[in-house]
Amino acid sequence: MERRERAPRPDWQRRVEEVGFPIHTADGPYWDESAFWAFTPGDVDLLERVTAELHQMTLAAVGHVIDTGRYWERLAVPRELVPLIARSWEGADGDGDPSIYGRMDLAWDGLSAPRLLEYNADTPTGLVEASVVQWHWLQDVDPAADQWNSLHERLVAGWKELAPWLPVGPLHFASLDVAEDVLTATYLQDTAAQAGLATSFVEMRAIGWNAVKGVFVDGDGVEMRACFKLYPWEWMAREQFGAMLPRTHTRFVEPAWKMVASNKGILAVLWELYPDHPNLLPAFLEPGDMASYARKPLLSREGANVVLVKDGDVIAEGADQGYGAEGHVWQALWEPEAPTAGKHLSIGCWLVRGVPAGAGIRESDGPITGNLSRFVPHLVAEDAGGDPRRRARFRAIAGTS
Amino acid sequence: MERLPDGLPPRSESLLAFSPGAVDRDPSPWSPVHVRKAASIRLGLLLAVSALLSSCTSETRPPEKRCVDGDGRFVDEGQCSATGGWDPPGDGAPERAPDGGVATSARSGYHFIWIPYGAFGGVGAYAPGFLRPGTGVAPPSGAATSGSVSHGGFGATGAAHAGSSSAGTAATAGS
Repeated sequence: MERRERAPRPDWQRRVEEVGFPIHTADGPYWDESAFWAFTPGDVDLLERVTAELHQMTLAAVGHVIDTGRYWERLAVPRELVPLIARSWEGADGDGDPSIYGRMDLAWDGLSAPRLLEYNADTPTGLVEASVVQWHWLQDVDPAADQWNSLHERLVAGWKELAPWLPVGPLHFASLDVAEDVLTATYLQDTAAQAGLATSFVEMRAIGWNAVKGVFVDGDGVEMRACFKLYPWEWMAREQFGAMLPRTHTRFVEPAWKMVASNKGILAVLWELYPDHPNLLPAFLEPGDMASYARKPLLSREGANVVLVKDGDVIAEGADQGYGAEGHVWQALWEPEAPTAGKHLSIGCWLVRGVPAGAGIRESDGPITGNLSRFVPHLVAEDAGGDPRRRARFRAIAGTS
Repeated sequence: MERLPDGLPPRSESLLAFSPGAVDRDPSPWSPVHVRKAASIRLGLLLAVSALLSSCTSETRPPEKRCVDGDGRFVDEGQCSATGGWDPPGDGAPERAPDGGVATSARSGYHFIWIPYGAFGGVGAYAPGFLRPGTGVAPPSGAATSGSVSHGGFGATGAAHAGSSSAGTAATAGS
């Protein structure tokens, strides 16, 4: 893989807005097409295989947590939610209540083995950029080129797969009244609508509880029989309506067992089950004797309250958003073996219905990926290894100019 | 997955069905490689929301719920209300689309969407961590009860994290 600079499209802001993403700029561009990453097909093969294997390992780790019952306290999962989690794990005739999506963030330098930084299994965002915006970017700049991105098709197909599991009635999509979250949830709603599902949107704080019927309702009083919620399970669980969750028959996407998969403590469980796995970093639920590590809150988002320590010295701290009260996981510090163009990379490998479906690249100036780390598009090119003659040959074979 | 340790079988056989590459479709006859990108992307609801956000000039405009068809065209709210208040089938059996599988209501095809005007910092701007303190439909925290229905029992944690976010970072519920 390699980073290549390229002049942004002259009207890139308008183009990005036209395809559904008006939040492209913060202090500087959040959507950053002044460069792109080129992967070889072999690179993508590797990332796909690693993502698939890590996903299976995570499922095994979730099952291990549930079956043994040994980790609930260490993962700060409230005991009263354990039956809810176990029920969702055994749902759908034992296959587990279905998931639509997730994102594994990998560290990779193109040389050493990709390593799992964390699994955003419950409420991943960055989906519109990965699925839609970078796809249209490629159509504009090099339509003959390929991209690891079948997210849209897989999402539509995925909702069709979920349909038999969904009760009759609208599938509600719920998020906070935050532009990024509303756009992400609406995009997923869009793909569900294209799958033929009846849908509706409800702001998270407008959800109601009908005490007589014992059901969740939307702002209009319509029963919420099924709900995709872009809102973390652990937040729902501790809030006022959390006490109703074990009683409700509402079917949630993502399912309750994702509460375990998205807990950063799962990194330590994975390391315990798969020690020395080449795609894992050592991770533990106590500090241990590592001199260089990332201390991550068990429950946090977007790099908040993450602390990086190298040789005993703090080298970076994520934004303080009040996370960490529940405890931490200590993960060995990842450092690239090959240069990555002076950028800190996180390769978000998306899964749809458990199948690797695409990538979104985030670049940071510092070693912690935060909410405003730049999204940089990618493409797949035979010559991403460096020899431009290979690319010309590839194009000739493909019959494109 | 030969690395799975003893006693930790894959979740189900279906998980072993992973096949790298794109979704099922005919490969281009001329292509010597497996195409990994989506053949096309159709959008409707997302464009309806983003178009209104892009045209928004007032950050104080209250959020609103709008009804659209599957192509994102705005329609009378009654269309969505009819869908939202779906009528359960008389025999209790789930309704299915003609192609089977897809659960739907009797009047699917119309969808309520949410336009978060005030959570948006203007054209092209990203509004870090901004969460409207009240949406007009529910209090920011704590449940408000009207009859047998109480609202506002979800969302308080997100509001608290938004309030604690540092400058230059966003506090969303996503990750």
